[in-house]
Amino acid sequence: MPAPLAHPVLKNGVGAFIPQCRRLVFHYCERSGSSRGMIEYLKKDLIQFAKEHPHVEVIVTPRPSKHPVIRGLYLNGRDKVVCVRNMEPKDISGKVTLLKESAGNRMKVFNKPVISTTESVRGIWSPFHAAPHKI
Amino acid sequence: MAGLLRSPLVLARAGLRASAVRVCPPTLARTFLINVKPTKKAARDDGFTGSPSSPSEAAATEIGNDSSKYRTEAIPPAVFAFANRLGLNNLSDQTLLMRIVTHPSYERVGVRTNQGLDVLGGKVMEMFVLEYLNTKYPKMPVEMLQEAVNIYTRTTTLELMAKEFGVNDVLRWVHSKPEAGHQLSHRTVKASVVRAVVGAIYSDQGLIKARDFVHAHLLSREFKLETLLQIEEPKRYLSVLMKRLGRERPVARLMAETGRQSKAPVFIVGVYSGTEKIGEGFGSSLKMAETRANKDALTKYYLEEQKDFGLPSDVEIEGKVYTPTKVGDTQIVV
Repeated sequence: MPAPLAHPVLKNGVGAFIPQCRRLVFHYCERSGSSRGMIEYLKKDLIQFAKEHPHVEVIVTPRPSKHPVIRGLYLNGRDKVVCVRNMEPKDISGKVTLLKESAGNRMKVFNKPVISTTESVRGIWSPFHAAPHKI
Repeated sequence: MAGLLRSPLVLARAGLRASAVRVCPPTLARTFLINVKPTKKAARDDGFTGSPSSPSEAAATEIGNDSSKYRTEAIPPAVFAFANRLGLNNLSDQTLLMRIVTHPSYERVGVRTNQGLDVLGGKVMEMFVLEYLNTKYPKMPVEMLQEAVNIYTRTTTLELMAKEFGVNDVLRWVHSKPEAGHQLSHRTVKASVVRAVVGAIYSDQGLIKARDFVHAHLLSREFKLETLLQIEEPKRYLSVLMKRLGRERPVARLMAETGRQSKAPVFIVGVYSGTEKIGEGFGSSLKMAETRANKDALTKYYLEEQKDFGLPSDVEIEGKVYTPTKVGDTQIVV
């Protein structure tokens, strides 16, 4: 019989969970003032972060005369860039967590409380299967 | 690395060892290090050996002593991250990691490729998928079962899995020459890495760990098996099936209807074997609804799910008692 066009779709977390952030790139400038917090973060907190998250590849590169920036790259091929100019290490840590936990998708508004591919357990209501209204 | 020493930023070299952090010399030309293998000189300067843990270093030296033909490669950060994402950091032989991601087209002296692991992993994967589907749906027709196994393990699916694993970063292969007779496709190469992962887990950690991996990553995926059941003549097939089962012949009865004279009628037809309803269908004509009902009855029969079943490979788990699973009949012959 002809093979169907549909393929088995990933349900991340149902079986195994694959963390979606694959790489974090840290850019800083060695001279400019806006990178002061970033440099302190790189010295103090980054190595601990990299040890705790071995599935994330961490790259540190100087980028002279530019504001400090963190770029997160994801398994869906997209990337997220966050400028951390004039931020304290604490705030930068927050941004890193944000990038690490993201899946790389575009920001979406979710209007529904539940989104699922499986139908309801009890079935969708049908007038032919429900008890008729009795007066 | 003179530029780095002058700067106020000094990272502890020892701290870098057990992580995927790489420090780059301050040149704009190397801002993005996508799949760049650190050269031996850079590795020494960085103090980054690439070995994730001490047991693997011991294993690496053993391999090095064992055969001088194959060199022990430093594991790049991308491969280290890839391994941790999939749980391959638990492999006792960490040299398998570079082997998994190297396709046979990447011919270099002293480099092991994933061909063996690919073949092994492919067979192992098929076996676990087949075992699971056969146990869960004992009455599934044979062609349908084969098709289902094929869909789960074919290159298209594995290519998608490879993308979701992040294989593109770590893959090592070589494009075919333009004048080559057969062009090697990217998707075949990606699929080979996924199979090689399964093969590596199987050979390194045993059958049960490989089974867990296949169940977690492959069988947890969503796929509607009902679409594979294709029946040409549902009424005739159902009639033959009921005869073989020794049950009363199927009779279709109209259960509910609306709008018979209108543009959009709806008929609900149920198929009964005696007093038991075995299938139900809806349609805009009586015939359509009856066909759907017959098809529903066949689907309910062939795709009957077992709940709380054990798999034949459970015998490999120590202390687990294996109760033989239900073996279904073959499909009806019309």
